[in-house]
Amino acid sequence: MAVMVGTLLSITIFILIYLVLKRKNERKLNEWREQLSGALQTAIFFENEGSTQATIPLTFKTIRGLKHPGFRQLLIDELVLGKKSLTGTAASNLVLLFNQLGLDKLSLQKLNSRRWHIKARGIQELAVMEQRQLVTRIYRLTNAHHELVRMEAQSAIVQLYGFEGLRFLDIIDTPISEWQQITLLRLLARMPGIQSEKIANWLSSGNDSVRIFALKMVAEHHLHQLHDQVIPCLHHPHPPVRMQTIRSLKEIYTETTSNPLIQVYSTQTIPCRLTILDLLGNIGSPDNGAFLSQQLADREDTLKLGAARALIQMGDVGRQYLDDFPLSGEYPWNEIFQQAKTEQTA
Amino acid sequence: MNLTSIFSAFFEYTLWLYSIVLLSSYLLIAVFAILEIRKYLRSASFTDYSVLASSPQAPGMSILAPAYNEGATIVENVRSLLSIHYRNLELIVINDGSKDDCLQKLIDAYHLKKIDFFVKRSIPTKDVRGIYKSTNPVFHKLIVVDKVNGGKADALNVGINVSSKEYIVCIDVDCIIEQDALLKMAKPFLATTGSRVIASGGVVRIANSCEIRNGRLVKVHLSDTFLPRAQTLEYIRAFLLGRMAWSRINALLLISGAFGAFDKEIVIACGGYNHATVGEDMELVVRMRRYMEERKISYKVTYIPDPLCWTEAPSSYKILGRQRNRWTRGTIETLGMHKKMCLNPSYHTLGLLSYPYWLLFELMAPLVEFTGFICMLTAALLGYIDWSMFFALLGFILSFGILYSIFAILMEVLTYNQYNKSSDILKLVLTAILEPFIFHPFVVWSAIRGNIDLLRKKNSWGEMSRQGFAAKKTNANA
Repeated sequence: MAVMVGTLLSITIFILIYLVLKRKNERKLNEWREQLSGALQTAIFFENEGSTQATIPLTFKTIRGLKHPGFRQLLIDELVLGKKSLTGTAASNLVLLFNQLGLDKLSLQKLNSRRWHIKARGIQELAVMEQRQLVTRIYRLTNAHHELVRMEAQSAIVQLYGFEGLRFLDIIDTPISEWQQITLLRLLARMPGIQSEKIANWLSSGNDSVRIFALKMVAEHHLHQLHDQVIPCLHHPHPPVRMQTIRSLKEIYTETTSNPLIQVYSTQTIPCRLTILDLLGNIGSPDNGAFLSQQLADREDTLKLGAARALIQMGDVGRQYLDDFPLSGEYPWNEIFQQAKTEQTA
Repeated sequence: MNLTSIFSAFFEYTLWLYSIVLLSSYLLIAVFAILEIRKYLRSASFTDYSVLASSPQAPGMSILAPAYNEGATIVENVRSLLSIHYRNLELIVINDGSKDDCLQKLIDAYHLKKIDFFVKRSIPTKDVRGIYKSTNPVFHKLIVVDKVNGGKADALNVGINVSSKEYIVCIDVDCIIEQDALLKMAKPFLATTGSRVIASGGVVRIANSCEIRNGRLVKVHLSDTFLPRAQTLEYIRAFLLGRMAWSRINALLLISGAFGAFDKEIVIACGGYNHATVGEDMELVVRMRRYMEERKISYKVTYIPDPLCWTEAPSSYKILGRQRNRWTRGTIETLGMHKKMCLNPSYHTLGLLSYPYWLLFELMAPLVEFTGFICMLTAALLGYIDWSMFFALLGFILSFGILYSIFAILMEVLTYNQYNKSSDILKLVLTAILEPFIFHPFVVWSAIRGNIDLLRKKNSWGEMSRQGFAAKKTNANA
């Protein structure tokens, strides 16, 4: 009982002391932040005329502050933040300051850590601060066991080497999460040098997530030249791959896309079928009218609506198919057709 | 040894065993919660949610907000929901046959027009009277459904039928949702590989006394009154400790009806929300898990500890009693509907751990406590009590409960620190000390009444009138 009450009091006192210390720490951080903003401004506007050997002048207070580990970490955080939002000379100067103060060694220490979150932080800092000399070490981690370390290493390599950095896709045996794919696509969007031959290879990868990612790149960069290599993915055994194939074809379709889609239609899942109908609507070829008209009789109402929407997109020919449909006056077709027509005029 | 002493010994040892397992489970929950929150916070520190905010690859989300007689606040609530940051979003407000001017207010405020819309019958529901969309492109994400009254579960099912996105986010329309809530909720669905994430829950916090401006929470304050404060503490304990711990071992059975995201395909495959229970939120999660277990599909139910949703807690004993009464009936009904899973190894953790835990320590705990209290009174009257032992045990159990609450406060301070004034923390500690004497007995009594009402086949939802954030703000300004 006495132990319990003692513990209770101790935790309460600990919480209160913690709050006081936290406030004190926040005040200190704000002071440091103000101090650092001066140093960062000096670095951003420093004119080094392209030299990597130049030294950015710093105040005595800043140099003295570097003795404190908290100050050094705050400086790294501010440099990383600044580097992410700046380009050109200003960004290069921040890298220069990072190297000048030997902060790269601190990030390297983190990279060497055995704790995953510290290692991942190190990778992130080194990549943003363009420490290319460590690329081999980071590259090895693109297939690391820990997911977050792996993700940070993959992002780092792409940040440092753009599309070339994606060569880890040739070797990884772990899945790339959809979240990571979105991150990589965003990084790649800012970089030139997309190589369609490489993407074509990944379209036949044994790793489904690599294949899906390649399909997303085809769509994102409108790689029409890969149309014929994308089509075989419609026969992939896994529905997510097939779904992404159809979505990607939506961005690169030609007049020949309809036939393979119609051929595989009956073997697809309902969401895949719905996406095919949507794509056929986009293609808008009158040749698909008869096929779409058949789908109006499907048992699944969602597919009826999908087919009606596709026919409406076809124009007058498609509208005629709807009007000629024998059950067009009956429920649910009357409501479905009406919705499809209203959507078109909206 | 006579029959009375055998019975007495059996009773005593069973109670001892029950108490030891219960207290041990609390300790385990605390440990698992620490590990899970630490993992989440470390991982979240690397996450740039703006990646998703701007990505065309963001999965589609439909927010489903059922509204019944919410005319007083509906326009503000919808405005708040429309301001949520998410690219691929639709907001479906379902007017569940309100008797007030809820629908008309929406029509006027958002320039709504009835449209031709075919409502799929993926899940059977009461009739839909009309679907409305705004003529103003600014509100293009908004869809308002007017339907015949059928209760919250029915309204949500209509929302599911109308929705066009892959994921549904079910909320209470009067909750305040953080602007980045959907970005955070979407992450588990996208970041998990190997298993399908079928549902994800978010932490619900108490907004009584908080500053709300234009439908957004601008400053967090701890409530000045005891009842909401006790619920604040209870929610911290339940969400930050309980649900995070269960989420770590993928054994979560409940995602709050106030804020949860679901994989629509699985929801429809399971038949949507169940009308036959007042605990439709818990029942859906249990049924979805059961569905996945029976088909042997690898799955996960995740939880996010960030405070993403703020709600107004009952501030009167009458309303609180109704709420807890309903929660008890919902739990009993849900466990009753899925009793096949209890201790059934085919359901793995769900059948061998989650279900028995809920049965023994969530459903039966109030009954055991109440029975224990009656037995203690009887024994005291008959002079059978060893008072020194009694007070020692009472002191131990009270200290344990208070200690657990204080530990929850510590976790809150170390993680999200929403109540960062020392005075607020002291008030929470005081609440933790008072809670076992005032709040807890009332909650136990409400649960007992829930059991009685269920036996008497009373299945009403119970009116849940709220003061409303807007009303409170006006009072504060006055």
